[in-house]
Amino acid sequence: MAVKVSLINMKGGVGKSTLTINLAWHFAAYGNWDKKVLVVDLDPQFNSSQYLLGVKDYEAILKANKPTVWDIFEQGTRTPSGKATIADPRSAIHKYQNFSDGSCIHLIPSRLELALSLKSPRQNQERHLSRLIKQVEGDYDLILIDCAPTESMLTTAAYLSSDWLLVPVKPEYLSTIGLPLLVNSMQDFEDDYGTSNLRLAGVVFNAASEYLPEEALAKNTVRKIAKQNKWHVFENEVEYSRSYPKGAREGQPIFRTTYSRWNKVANFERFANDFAGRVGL
Amino acid sequence: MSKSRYMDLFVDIARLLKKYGPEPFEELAGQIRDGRFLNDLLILVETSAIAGRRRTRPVGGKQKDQRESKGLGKLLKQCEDQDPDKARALQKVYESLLSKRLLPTLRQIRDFAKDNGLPPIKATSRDKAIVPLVRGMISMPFEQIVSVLERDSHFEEKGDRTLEGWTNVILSRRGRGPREEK
Repeated sequence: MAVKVSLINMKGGVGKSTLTINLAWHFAAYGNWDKKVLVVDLDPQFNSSQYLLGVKDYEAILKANKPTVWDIFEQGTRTPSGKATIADPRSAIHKYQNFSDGSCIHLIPSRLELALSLKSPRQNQERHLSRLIKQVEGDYDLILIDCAPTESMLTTAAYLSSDWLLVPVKPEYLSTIGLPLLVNSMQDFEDDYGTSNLRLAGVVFNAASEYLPEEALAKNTVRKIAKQNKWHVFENEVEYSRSYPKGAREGQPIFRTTYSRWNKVANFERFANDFAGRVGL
Repeated sequence: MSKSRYMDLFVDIARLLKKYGPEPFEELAGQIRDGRFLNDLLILVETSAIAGRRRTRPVGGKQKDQRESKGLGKLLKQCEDQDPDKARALQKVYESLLSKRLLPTLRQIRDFAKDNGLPPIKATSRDKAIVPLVRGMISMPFEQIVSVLERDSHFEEKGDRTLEGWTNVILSRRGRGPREEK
């Protein structure tokens, strides 16, 4: 059974998609991990889909009317021609890369129209994703869900589909404010759905540079909130590197770029291994 | 060893570390701790140095490359007799590699070989890695070679990952719902 992890923070721009894709690549293709990884892009801004696919492949999926995460949530919607359904839930999974050793990176892409599903959510719509994941989780070792940075039906869908939450935090003032919002969101979920198996893998400082006083202040605030809520904070931080945005533009993880410094790659590796230990991968 | 010799060695190691990354060094460090390994290595280096001195006419790298290219040509010819489509696709791969349209860095060539279960590429320059890669690809099914060409050509096409490209995707969807496409 797959380990299911949602990358979530109520603040945008903290590096959720970059972290998601780099983790996916790391566990599928770096060292001897050789894991089967499914990425679920649960953000209408579809950054994870952009990172992996590029314009041509993404357009090809839309032009061929292949199902996306939008279709998963819109199942059961009544239309003039009947109820919308996906004949085979697996058809929403795009096989981005299969490696010869059996490991893979697959993707359920997102699309802009997912935002429309949020305008008038229907009853039980939030359960559609977890139903699909239950059907396919035996095919994977790790399922990474890249969440949208707002509280909505999609957040609940992510909670229902996950075993763990990973919270990337950029150590700066505005980014830290996303954390109490997340505390609220998780408490609301527990109130509405009772106890669940959802656990917090931890908070990871993303794009950290260590030296700035402003950053140190933000980190202390986050550590304080984490302590109050008994949250784990990863000791290994993901340091800032220009290779991350550049790699995203080229569709490459940091360890496959030709320009990244080895110490930045090693830094990411340390965090990824720490994360793997935490979630039992 | 004198302090300056230590420093020289340290600088050399730092340069190599930058070039190869830390992993091979960690592995090597483990092996070097074994005294027998170090001894065997010294003997090997000395023997090959003597053999190198004895060589009357050095075989240039260029000659070796030419020999390898001819060998590949022969293999492609054999492949053409059995599967002309596959041979054509491989020829295209070879040409794309030469012109750097496909897998433009040595690292990408190595990663590609690893991802597709091909023999590891030991060459230390991109030019020298091309022939071993194409030779390894001969064992790949035709469909896989074609899909590689298609996917990698997407990456190479200008505009595939530009802001303009994504802007077109996003703006072309205005006023058009997904249901209208179906």
